[in-house]
Amino acid sequence: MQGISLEQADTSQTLLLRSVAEQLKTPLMYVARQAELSKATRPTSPEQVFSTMQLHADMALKLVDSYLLGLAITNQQETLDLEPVPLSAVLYDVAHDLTPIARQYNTDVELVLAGKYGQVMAHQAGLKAALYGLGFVLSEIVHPQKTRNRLQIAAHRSKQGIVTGFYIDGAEQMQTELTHMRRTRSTFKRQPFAQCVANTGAGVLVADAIFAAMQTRLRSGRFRSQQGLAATLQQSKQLQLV
Amino acid sequence: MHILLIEPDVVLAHLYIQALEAEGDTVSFVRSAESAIHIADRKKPDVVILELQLTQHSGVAFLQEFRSYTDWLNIPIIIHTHIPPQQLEPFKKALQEMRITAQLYKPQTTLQVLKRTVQAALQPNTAA
Repeated sequence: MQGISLEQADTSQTLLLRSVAEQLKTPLMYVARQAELSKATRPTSPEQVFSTMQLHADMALKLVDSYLLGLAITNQQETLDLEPVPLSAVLYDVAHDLTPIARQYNTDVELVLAGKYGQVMAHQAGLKAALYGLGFVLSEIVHPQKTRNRLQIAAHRSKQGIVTGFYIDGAEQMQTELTHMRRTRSTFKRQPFAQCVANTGAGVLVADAIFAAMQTRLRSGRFRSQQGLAATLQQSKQLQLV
Repeated sequence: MHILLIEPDVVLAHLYIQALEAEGDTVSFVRSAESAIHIADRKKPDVVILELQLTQHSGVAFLQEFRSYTDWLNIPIIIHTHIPPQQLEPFKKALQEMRITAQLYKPQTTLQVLKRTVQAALQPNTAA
């Protein structure tokens, strides 16, 4: 990333790696403890138990790939070349992948596409990785009053472009905390989003790095009475043949 | 016996609840410090299992408030946390003053160890 010294880049990479490593403990703990519990209690529905274990293991693998991309970006090894990307298709895929894991956290995922967008200029794998990591963190948000929450994955037009992001009750403080994180890059925080997320929220940090590499930025946004984080993407000027 | 489990991760919490209830104990589960105080007020727990990494109010803030009530002074509290033991060293004295019964590092604590620790804490002679 331009304007960052090697020392700063090294620190960013180390901090991101620490955040990622801490975050990945959770799905691994789930798999280990579920296996232990199943050995002791012989579940009545073993298929369901195995499905859930698979879900968490697959989620961890997706997160690893997202994080590897984020690490490569912060190490300046990866430049994200932008290309026309079908935004709706990406959002459908992300919503599909996130829904079962979000349900585990009592969060219902709702995909909202306010209009037709065609293609946006982005890096397809990077966009998917960023959205997945961001969505996973937001679906874990601890809301003080709600036992069940609703996560909107939404795209809508603005004057600047197509705003794509996640919105959920309880995310009001995330922008402030993200801004603070960007300013204090040299310090590892176990809970950088302590107002709403109990862990390192590494998915947000990775998404932040990926969107920056796509020459856009994660910002706070509001959509249908919910607060969240979103990035603005530019519509592809490529003519579409119908 | 009644256990108050304070755990922000609902997926992990359900595992712990299943393991603890298999021992015949009942469990009240909350995700935040504020809810924990309300729940403890409604039904006094026999033991508390606490993750220090909470949202809004930290586990330490919970400890300070919880121990400020005379009715709850002697309730055993087990810390079951993501924070590695070496990072809790600077707070060792403060935690001792809060009369923590046990300190468990979550990634390396099996359900078996958690259950044994809870059973030990529920023994009548456990010093808080």
